[in-house]
Amino acid sequence: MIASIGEYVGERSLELAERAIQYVRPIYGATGANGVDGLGSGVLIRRAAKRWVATVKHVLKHNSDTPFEEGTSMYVGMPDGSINTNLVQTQSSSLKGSV
Amino acid sequence: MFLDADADLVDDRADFAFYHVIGYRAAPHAMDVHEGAKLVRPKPFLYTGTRITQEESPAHLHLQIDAMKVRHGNQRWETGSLEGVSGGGVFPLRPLDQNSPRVQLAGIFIEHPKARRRVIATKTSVLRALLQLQPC
Repeated sequence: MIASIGEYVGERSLELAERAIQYVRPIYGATGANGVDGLGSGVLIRRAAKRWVATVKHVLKHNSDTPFEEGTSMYVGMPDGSINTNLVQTQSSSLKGSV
Repeated sequence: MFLDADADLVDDRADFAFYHVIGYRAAPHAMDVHEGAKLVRPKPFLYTGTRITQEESPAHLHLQIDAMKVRHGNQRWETGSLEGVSGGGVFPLRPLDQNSPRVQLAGIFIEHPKARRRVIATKTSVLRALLQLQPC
């Protein structure tokens, strides 16, 4: 039972966050030591049959900085904690900024 | 699970008082690494902020954030670094009279100018335009 308007709003807010978080994933970059570094976050979006991870330019930059010659050096974190090595598609865009 | 670009992106003209910022910080203390199982369990970052409409550009959404005055329930805490949250999603909180369970994206978090106490997100119209450039 919710006791006050404030608590009701808080409950609704958390419910939304719990649903929204399913669409937001961490993005990792491969390191030379066979490990991963956290690079940033991304939002999963689809349009018709195509699926995308929307993120920012400085996260995508890791792909060109990496010493690896082939494939992507970026991975998407999955809800179970595993890492998906099949990054959907990297497409540089005008989404840029820094934190 | 993917947001549908044709249905789940907020119209930029819609105005909401509050927005959730959701992403994953890159700091080591923000994730549990299970090396044996090859699993990484990052702790999500969630912040609820109000919109600043006065200085917005057509492409960017500005939200107020004060790193020292962040509240979660009855607790007050410091946000710390937001490194890694960039690329995360900004989602509007709908008014109580719009009792909709829909999750819609309002923007992609791109920048946190600390001195200006705000987070900046790219609006969905930019994202929509980029997606429309791609063949289906």
